[in-house]
Amino acid sequence: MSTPLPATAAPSYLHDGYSLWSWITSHDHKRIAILYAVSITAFFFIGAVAAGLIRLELVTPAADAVDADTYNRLFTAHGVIMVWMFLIPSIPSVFGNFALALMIGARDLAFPRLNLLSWYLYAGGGLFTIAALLLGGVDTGWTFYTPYSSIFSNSHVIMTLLGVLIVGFSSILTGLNFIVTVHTLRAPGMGWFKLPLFVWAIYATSVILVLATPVLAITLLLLAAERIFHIGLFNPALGGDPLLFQHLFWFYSHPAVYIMILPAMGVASEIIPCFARKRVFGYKFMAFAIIGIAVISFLVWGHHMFVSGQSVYASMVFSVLSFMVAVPSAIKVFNWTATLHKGSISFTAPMLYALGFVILFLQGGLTGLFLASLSIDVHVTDTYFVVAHFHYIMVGGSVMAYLGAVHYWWPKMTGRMYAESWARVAALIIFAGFNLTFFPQYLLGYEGMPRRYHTYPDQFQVLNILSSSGAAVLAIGYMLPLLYLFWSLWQGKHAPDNPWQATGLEWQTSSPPPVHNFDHLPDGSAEPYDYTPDRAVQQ
Amino acid sequence: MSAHAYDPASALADARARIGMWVFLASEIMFFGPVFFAYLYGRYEWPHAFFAASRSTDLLCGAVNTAILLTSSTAVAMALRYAEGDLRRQARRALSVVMLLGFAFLLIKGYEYGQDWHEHLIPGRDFELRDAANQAAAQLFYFIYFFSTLLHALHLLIGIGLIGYCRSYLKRDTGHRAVRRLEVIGLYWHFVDIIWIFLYPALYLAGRAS
Amino acid sequence: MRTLVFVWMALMVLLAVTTGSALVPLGPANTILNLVIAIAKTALVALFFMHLRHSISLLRLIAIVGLTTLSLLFILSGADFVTRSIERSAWQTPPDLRQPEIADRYSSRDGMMWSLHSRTKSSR
Repeated sequence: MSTPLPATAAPSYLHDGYSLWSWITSHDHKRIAILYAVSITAFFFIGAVAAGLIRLELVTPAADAVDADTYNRLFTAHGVIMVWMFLIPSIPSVFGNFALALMIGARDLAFPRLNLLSWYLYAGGGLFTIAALLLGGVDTGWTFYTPYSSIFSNSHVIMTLLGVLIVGFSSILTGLNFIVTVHTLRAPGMGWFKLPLFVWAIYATSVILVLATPVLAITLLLLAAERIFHIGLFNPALGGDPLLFQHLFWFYSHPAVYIMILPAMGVASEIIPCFARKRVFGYKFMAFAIIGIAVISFLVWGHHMFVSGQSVYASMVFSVLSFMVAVPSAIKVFNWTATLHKGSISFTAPMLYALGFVILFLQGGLTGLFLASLSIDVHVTDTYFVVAHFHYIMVGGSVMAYLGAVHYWWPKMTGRMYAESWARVAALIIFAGFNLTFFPQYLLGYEGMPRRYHTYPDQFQVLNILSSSGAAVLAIGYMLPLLYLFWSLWQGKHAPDNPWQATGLEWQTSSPPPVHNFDHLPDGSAEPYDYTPDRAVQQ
Repeated sequence: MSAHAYDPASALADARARIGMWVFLASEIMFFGPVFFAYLYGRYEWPHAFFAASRSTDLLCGAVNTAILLTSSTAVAMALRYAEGDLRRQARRALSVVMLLGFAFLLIKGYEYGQDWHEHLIPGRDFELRDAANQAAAQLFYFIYFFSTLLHALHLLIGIGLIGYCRSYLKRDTGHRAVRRLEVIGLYWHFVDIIWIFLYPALYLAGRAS
Repeated sequence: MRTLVFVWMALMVLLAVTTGSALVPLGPANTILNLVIAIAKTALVALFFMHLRHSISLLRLIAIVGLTTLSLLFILSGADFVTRSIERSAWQTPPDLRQPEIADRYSSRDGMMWSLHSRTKSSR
């Protein structure tokens, strides 16, 4: 890539109106990205408080911090908020919104007003869920298994369901917007195999969003109707089947976890080549692996139901299919590693997060294979082994990648540089805190400590104390970016157009970009990731 | 085809609208699909009860409603043809027919629901299906019947509103945008029709010949 | 325009056939016929009214992907339901499923062409 464009005379999108009204009625994808960033951060901290209380209770074997009912409400709140209000929107709705249009050389998404509607639905649904929480919350677990949720639970199930339903519609519309944008608004010359891998990842995520989320929506509606009208679709005593609910629920919820990880993989594929100053190894394999993951993700949901009464034959089929989904993921891990090999690596904060992502995702992915094996899963299902597995992927994977993306695109979004040393320290604290929190949970689960229990046998206390201490370290780690990133908004150095000397069209416009993104329609025909080792990264 | 000269910006907007609506319809098929799966579950587990319950629906109303919807889809397709050929008055007349047929469907459905109320077929305390040994499973059928037909009726009502909007927009706007909107809303209408094409045999025709 | 009228006539014929044949006892063929006719009607609406016949292939791809994903739900979940077996313990005697009142209470699966089990699965 040649010399960067000079900063334009047009006002940046941040200066295009200062009132709150101008922000919450904006059609600009960049402003909507910021709206999402603020709201999901708020939800993250609410979900994190719930997690903190859970870990506090688990320091001792007895039920001394909270009682059983409150504990149930805490882990449900943690799950519902973290899954639907934080993880699923996080990278797509913030960075998909901000960077996607810029990366393909477009002025905005295909349907800008629909984009704003998506945010309204997200915020509205989120508020519904918070209201349910304030009224006392829900105690069914984020999985809402029947018949407990349809018949016996006395908590605010329907209100929470409505909140999730509304947020679900937000996701569907966002996915739709991204798909149409990638098909119709690419810059001239930008064929599919010139796209950055982040775009591929967001596209595949959007396909899953569009196809899987409606199944959740109808399932939650059926659950609500069952609860209100006391019908027996999920009630065996009245001719129904709880497994019907589970099939419908997991048909969405398994692809949902790939909604959470694919964008993270896309972020890693942007950061690693940049800070290794090397082309992505095996670009086409990376792109096809993304599609492969998205396709196979729809075939494996029964692995959540191995012990719930699903037939053995179906379980075996799902087990084999679950092994298959590891293959494209493994290809990606090999290719990231090969990209790093003989690269000129600089350990900037985004790179630390990306490396942490690869290491922790690898770990979590490997334990996923343990869980895919029918025979092992029978022993470790519903134990802390599963909890550790999915936290390695969702927190070690997705959240690390999200933070990496925040740091990588911070100069572009805000026009400011953050304090690099603080950022590196925070990344290392988060990595250490994460492992301290969740590695002991593998051991706990293997030794038989069940999940969703607020008391446990004394022999598990040491590991639980380690885990809770880790949670405290993690909390400090997560607070630090909040502090130094905000500080940079006032005191940070002004960012150049391309502080990382990165390839990609988003770096060819000013930091922050003008409202209309580009002064002139960019040329999209360059090869992606055209890095050479001798171009130094600006520190 | 439209008589207007080729306009690349307009063609791009057409592509965006079409792709957008088809993606939305893909999400809608995933929305309705699980309800059909729930129906198949019930029919597989409780065949006698489902057949008995299916026999107690009003076949004449169902068949007439299916004919109404298929005709309305034809009318939408005709309206689009007229609009593309710039025959806006005929197009709007065809859309009026579509709206009338849509309302007729809803009226007949309402009549059916009234009948179901009188015959104690609403799931709940008063439910009673005369020739079914398994009342719980028969209730399951009717739960799925009401859930799916209400969901369908809601989509149809929204469709009628959108068709009405198209009709008035064809008058107000003389350009291609009105035609594009009609095309895209027509796709939505056809989809609602397709859902009914499958609901009809599932809810009305099973177990009739016994 | 004439094409549209022909399509309408075909749809009406198909509706008549599906409704009429439902009143004739054909066993499992009733269900198959109804399904095939529904698919035929859908194909007519999709190809002629929704213009899938002369659309860009992306739109056909979107339709196919949607239908394929839905069929995954049906096939794999269905695989669970049809391969479940009820293991009765030694002291449970299987109910006499030939009596219709009991048959309905115990999910009989007779007459279902895709049933994989014989009715009298003896206890192990």
